[in-house]
Amino acid sequence: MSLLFPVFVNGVSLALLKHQPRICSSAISQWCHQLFNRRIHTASQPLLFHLSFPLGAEPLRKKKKIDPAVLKMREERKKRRLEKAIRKLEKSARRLKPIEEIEITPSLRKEITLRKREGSHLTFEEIEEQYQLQKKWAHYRYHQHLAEMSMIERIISAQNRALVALREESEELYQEAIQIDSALIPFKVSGPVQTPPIKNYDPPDGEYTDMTKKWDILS
Amino acid sequence: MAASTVGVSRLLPYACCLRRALSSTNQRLSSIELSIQRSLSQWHLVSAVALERKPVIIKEKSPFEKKYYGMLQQMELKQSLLSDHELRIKEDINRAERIKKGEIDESDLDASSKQTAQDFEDAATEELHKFQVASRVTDADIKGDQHSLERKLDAHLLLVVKQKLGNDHRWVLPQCIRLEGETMRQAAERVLYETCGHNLKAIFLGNAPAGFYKYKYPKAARGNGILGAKVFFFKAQIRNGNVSQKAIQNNTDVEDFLWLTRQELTDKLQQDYLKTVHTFLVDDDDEVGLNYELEEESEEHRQTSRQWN
Repeated sequence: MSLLFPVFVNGVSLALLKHQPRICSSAISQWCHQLFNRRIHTASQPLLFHLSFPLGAEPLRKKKKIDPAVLKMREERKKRRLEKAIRKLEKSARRLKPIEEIEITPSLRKEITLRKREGSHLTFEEIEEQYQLQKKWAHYRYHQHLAEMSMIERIISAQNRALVALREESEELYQEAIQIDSALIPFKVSGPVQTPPIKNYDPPDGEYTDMTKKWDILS
Repeated sequence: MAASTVGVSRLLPYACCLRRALSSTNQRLSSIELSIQRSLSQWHLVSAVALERKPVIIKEKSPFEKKYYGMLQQMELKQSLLSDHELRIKEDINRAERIKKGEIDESDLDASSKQTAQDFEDAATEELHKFQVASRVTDADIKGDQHSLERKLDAHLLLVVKQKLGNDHRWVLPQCIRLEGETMRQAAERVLYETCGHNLKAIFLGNAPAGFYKYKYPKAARGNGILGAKVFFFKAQIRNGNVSQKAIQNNTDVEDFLWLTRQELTDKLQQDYLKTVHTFLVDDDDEVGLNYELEEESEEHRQTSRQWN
């Protein structure tokens, strides 16, 4: 029998046997048997010394036993440190940004006598006049307010009358009329202003420096 | 017997149901009545638009307001401390005096070459005066052009049109009869764009009519059994553009349009109509002020006369 396919037995290609054309199958099995039983080595290279891999470490040291009290102390210290950090964070979170306008700088404190305005003292007549004028102003604004309120009332009642009249004509139209107009929200208006806008005004580009201070949370 | 043992709380939902059923039948009844009424209705439903331009600039202060404002400013000034700039002016004056006296030599002062505070102030005022604010009185005011939106910037303007009503033309707010299937608001929107053209942007203030006016047609015009018209006014504010002349020309019903202030309305609108229109319009700001000022002046008069006496 001639071997057409490579067959591997124990790592040896039986195709090697191809050159011995007239070997019957029983002969092959016998040969295989010999290979296994006699432990004939079939490696292609000669068998030399084998070396085990060197271990790159020294033997482990004996574990030191730590006093549990010390351990506990260490843990506590860690905990305390963390707590302190948390407290600090909380404190800085609660602290508000300083408002510069409220704080008077030391230089201003020094100059305060220097900055006193002359003639800021009010005479009795002046105070009296101011008082009278303020009283009149309050009266004036009160009347304005009353007029405004009655105007609003007038407008609302006009609308109510219109709605009643519409309902008399048609319930459906009335129902349509009392629907909320969602297009009105949000309602935006601007003005009125002191002087009218200048047409085709090209505002000059000024220099712009952002003076806003940034405040980080202190850690 | 059973009902008496059942708690009131158990009965409550049934009572509610009953009430609901009753009210719904009531509603149904009323709607039936209404529909009968409608079929008999002898009125045209008309939507009208009260298109307004809100004031662009604030009113001029009244003499009393000016006086009070002056007082406030004076108070503010008196309570204040000197600013850096004012300090600088003071220093400059001091230095000038000392130089005059010969206390300090002018040559060893590097400050002398610097700009004085007064110079700075003058430069700033000059710059301010260079900037021209737009005039509160516009060309349209000078020309008396009532078609322009640029007139009377400190007052409310209302759009009125000369519309064909029956056989003659009258000054009214733009109006039209509601078509079948339209809501009143839709009719109002339609009439606005039909009369004014589409290059105008307006915002309608809600779905509900702001005012109501009823008028009867002359007997000759009551051919088809319709008595008159019920006009529902819808408020709107103009946001952009103006009424296009072309649209007015194309519209067969409308001859002309005007933007009028509250006072000017009295000349154009009919008495009754005007009254109705005034019920739902916001007053101009000065209307209260004027009354008060008169009082104020007379009081002052009295005071001064007392002083003289």
